[in-house]
Amino acid sequence: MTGWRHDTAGSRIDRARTVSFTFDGAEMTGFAGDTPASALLASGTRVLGRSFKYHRPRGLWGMGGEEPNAIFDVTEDSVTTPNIRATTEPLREGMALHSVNTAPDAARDRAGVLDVFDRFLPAGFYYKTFMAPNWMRWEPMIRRMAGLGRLDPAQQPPADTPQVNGHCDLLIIGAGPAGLAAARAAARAGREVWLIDEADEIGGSLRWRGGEIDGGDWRDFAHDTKQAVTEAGGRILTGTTLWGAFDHGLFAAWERRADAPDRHWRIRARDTVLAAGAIERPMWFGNNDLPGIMSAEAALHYLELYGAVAGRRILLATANDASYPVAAALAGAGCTVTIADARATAPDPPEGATVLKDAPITRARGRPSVAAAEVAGRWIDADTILVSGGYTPSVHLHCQAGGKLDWNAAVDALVPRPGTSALNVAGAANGSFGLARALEEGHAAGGGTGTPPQAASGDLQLAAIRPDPAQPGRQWVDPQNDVTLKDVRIAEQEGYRSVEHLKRYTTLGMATDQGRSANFAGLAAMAALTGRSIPETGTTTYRPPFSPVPLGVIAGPRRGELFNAPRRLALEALHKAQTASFREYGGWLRPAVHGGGDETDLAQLEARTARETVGLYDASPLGKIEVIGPGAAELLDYCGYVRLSTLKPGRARYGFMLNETGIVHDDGVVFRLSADRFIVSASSSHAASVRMMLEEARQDVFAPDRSFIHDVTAGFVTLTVTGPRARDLLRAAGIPDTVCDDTTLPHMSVTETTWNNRALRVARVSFTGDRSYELTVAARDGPALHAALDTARAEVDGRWIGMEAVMILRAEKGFILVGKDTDGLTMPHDLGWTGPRDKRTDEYLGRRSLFTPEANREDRRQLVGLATTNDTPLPTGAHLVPPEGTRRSLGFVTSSYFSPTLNRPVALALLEGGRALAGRDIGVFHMGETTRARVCTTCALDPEWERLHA
Amino acid sequence: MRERDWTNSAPEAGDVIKGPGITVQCLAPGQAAIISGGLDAAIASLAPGAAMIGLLDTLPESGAYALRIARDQVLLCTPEPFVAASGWHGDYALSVADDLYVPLQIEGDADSTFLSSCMSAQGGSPSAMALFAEKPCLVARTDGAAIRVWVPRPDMAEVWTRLALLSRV
Amino acid sequence: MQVFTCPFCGPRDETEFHFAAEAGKERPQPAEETSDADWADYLYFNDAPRGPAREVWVHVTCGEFFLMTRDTVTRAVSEVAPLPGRGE
Repeated sequence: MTGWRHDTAGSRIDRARTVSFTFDGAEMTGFAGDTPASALLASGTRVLGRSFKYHRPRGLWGMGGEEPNAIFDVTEDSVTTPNIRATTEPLREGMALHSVNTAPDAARDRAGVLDVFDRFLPAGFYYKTFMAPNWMRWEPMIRRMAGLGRLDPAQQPPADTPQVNGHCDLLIIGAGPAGLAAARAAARAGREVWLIDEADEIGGSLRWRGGEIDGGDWRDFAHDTKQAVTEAGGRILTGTTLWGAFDHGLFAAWERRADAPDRHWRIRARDTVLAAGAIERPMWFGNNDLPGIMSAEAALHYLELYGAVAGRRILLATANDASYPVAAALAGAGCTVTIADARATAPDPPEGATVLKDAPITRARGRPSVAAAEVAGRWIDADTILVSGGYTPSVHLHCQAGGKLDWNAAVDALVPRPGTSALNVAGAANGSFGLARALEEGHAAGGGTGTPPQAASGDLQLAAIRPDPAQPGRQWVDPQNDVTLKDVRIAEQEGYRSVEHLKRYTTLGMATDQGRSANFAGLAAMAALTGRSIPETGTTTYRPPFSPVPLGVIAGPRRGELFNAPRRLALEALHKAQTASFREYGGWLRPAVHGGGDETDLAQLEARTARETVGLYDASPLGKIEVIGPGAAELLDYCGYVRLSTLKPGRARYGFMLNETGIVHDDGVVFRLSADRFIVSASSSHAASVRMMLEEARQDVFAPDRSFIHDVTAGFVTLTVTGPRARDLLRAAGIPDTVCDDTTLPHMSVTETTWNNRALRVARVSFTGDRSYELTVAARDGPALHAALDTARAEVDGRWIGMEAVMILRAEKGFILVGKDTDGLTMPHDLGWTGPRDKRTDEYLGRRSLFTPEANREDRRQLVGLATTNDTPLPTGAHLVPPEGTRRSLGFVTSSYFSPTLNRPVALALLEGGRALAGRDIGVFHMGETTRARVCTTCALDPEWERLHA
Repeated sequence: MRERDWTNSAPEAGDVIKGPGITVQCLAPGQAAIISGGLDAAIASLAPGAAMIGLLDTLPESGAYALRIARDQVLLCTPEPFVAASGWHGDYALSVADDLYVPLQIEGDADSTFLSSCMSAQGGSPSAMALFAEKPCLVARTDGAAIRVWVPRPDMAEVWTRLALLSRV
Repeated sequence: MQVFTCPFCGPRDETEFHFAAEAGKERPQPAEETSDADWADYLYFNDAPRGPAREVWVHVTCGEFFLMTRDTVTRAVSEVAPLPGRGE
């Protein structure tokens, strides 16, 4: 117990409001404004978790998204959210924090014994040891012991994250000194600026480092900037992580809000400034992963913002001047501070601190938390070691946007190469350290003219710190994934020398901190081992996200009822009132059956009724694509397999639409209403694609002003009346007999009329083989038509039938559904429609493909019917196999139902050379068993087509 | 296997969603037709003076207007029922489409954040048709700075549910 | 998310667009006199260049088919144009 709370320091916390929480069951308190990390640090809790592989105790390292260790499962209101980063989450009353990867808790983890066996668990150990077939045995154990947080099945996060599209003139990423200077300059020039920062207030490092700008406190400068941005119509988004740069200048940002659901922003800007700052590097020495070893920058952050002090007896190991203000602040807070500077020439120590020069740190010891450090061969007692191995500019978004990096030896870092991405990089992200330079670069990046904001600060003086693979002791490179310098050496020895291979072989940088503190050490060590420079060694590819983002944030509202929702019928409520139960058919939610009970029984009843008296169903999803104009017939001739220019007005014709490869894309009926107006009744699920195929031909093949395509499907309701008493029903519903008698409206014809002063289209087409009428009215007139038909239905003992019954009716007749009874190889002649292929001499879409050697093969899969003596329908999808001999697939069952009218099963199938096999037996292979069926014609019911006119 | 349930339903004219600051109202469709080809000739003969409306353009306070769909296509909306029938009219094609779209109106979206959570396309585009709530809709403004959206009828239930959710957050 | 520019509607998100075809690929005419090999070449063999590619796309919301030249490596769109005869 070494961390403590300072009496007065802490700009972020409200000491008047305490917040109670628990950590691994122990009750604790913090203050409003704390994060779990700051509250735990102030409480003196050191061991916050266990490492991934060796279960080594781990403590707090950083202050933001780079934190590799302090990751908790957080329970609130009895729901647990896994893997919450303690450094970025606000502390809330009643939070229960559980350390991850520990049993029973972080302090007493049983698997810590694994650490003793570390020499048996080097990089690649798992790859080499737990291989198939025994992997199955090991996997559950390894999975239990490794990994981070646990998923809570009760955790069902709401799908309520709006995806907001943002557009602005200038996007500034990072509201530290460079970002503020850029924002102020641009806003003053009248530009609409969006300023985004991950922290919940602006200021960046100024918040803990402080500083004077233009002779005043930095807070005045920040306030002015905020005002200027708002006045110019801009926006300031704090608590917002800009996590990815994508194609064509799109940025994604996750905004966390305390009292409202989070928002996910998709931002496009005319210009973008990246002022994301830099992240402090660790140092590499023996046991550098002990709890109590912390980033110096983070220690200052916790002191200034939260009054949380890392320890009392502090050793600060550094090689740069930026650590000296940290030492000064801690000494001022009452700590004993010794600076171990690796440089021979170091500045004078601040008041209250001592400095050791030429004093590199080589080892630490202590159990479970740090107790002493070995510096220049001498052990120094310390309850806390703060380290600063230099700074790594946050170049992620520059690189995600395609930017390249250059090595800058003066700041010992890879920095953005100017002009390689669309982002304008400023300040520490650009390797320009120090307040004055950040302000200067930010000002310029914001388009500022004249004198930039002034501050008194020099450039950062530093010496390079490098991991030394030759040094003894275990030196951690990636503390979360337990990658040590030895692992890097092993990777090098085994030939994994590319940084991308190093990453995958050792898992270095794959942790949830995205390798922010680990990657530099990994590549520097590999560079040292291979004798290459750091730029020669290169970096791994930077990919989104910059920080982990909950998947729910990216998914947005697209879940539940909003996940791939089907289209809805205008009369859905009326069908519900008729006790319909619904299912999705071809992208539409349609009645499956009506009434309660077994669905199969209901479908049988409905299908039988439709054959005996009348069935009514909602056919509104059938396409109503109007093709209008003097070129309409020509266009449809080209796009269809069956000629349509020869169709007389008032008549209908069934046909196919092929794609250019000759494959059946859709089938349907085309009506000709007048010389220059057709309606393509595409099948429900293909209406959209048929419209596009017609559009493409209209625009790309024909004169586009001679025909026009209007898909008005959604504006109309179509109710189909089918069965021997269909005409009686229409008569009873008040539809004049003069409209629908067999002379004025024979099979395959259409007429436009009025009914009760409403426009009504009646088409005589049949998907059931029975006398059928399709009645189409405007959607607003649908309820009236529905009511009239429903009243008349009672007089003829009819029923509303669902799609399950319609499927039975059409299968009895051998009518196909494209995509179900056909596949991606089916051509029209495979379905028995050879006429146009044999006779048409004009050009049409897909025609040439019907005469290739492939199209001419005798053994193409053809549509056939199957009859079985069994009472059970054949399983749909079952493979057809030779009745004797070697089993191989000759095709498959595409549709199969029990026919209540025939009192036997009917089935359709695609079968190699099927039509020639009519009358012969074929094997039907399903779930390891082969039964037999007889190949027959596709039409099982009424082959004489008498029912159409009954 | 149990299929997914959709318990939501499309609104009826007059139904309202009220969220903090946001009001969404479902309107009754009026009279409309899709017209293609000679647009100027069509408007001159069917609704003289009807304004051509692009994305987020302001609708006239009264009278007819033509919501531009494509280079050669509009949805002509008129206060009076149509006299012209579907078909070819010499230099333009017409299909009666009164109920193809269901209009809704959004009010109170002062900073456009609500609109931006439904749509990425921006004003200034000659076509009023854009993806709105992931559906191809026609989007315009009214004189009173409300947003009016014409939603394909079969997608209305989904769009309405989404707007209800977004209005709460 | 890329932004494509419909020659009529202007810039819109890529979700409003669909790829249609490789541009400049002539349908062999008369098709029936075309050899099987040439026809297969027309149907199935696309250039798929690395770098600038000339393609036909469709702006689904307005239905316009148009020509677009875009770089398959950098994803930069260098040119969009209406189909011949379509522009005003």
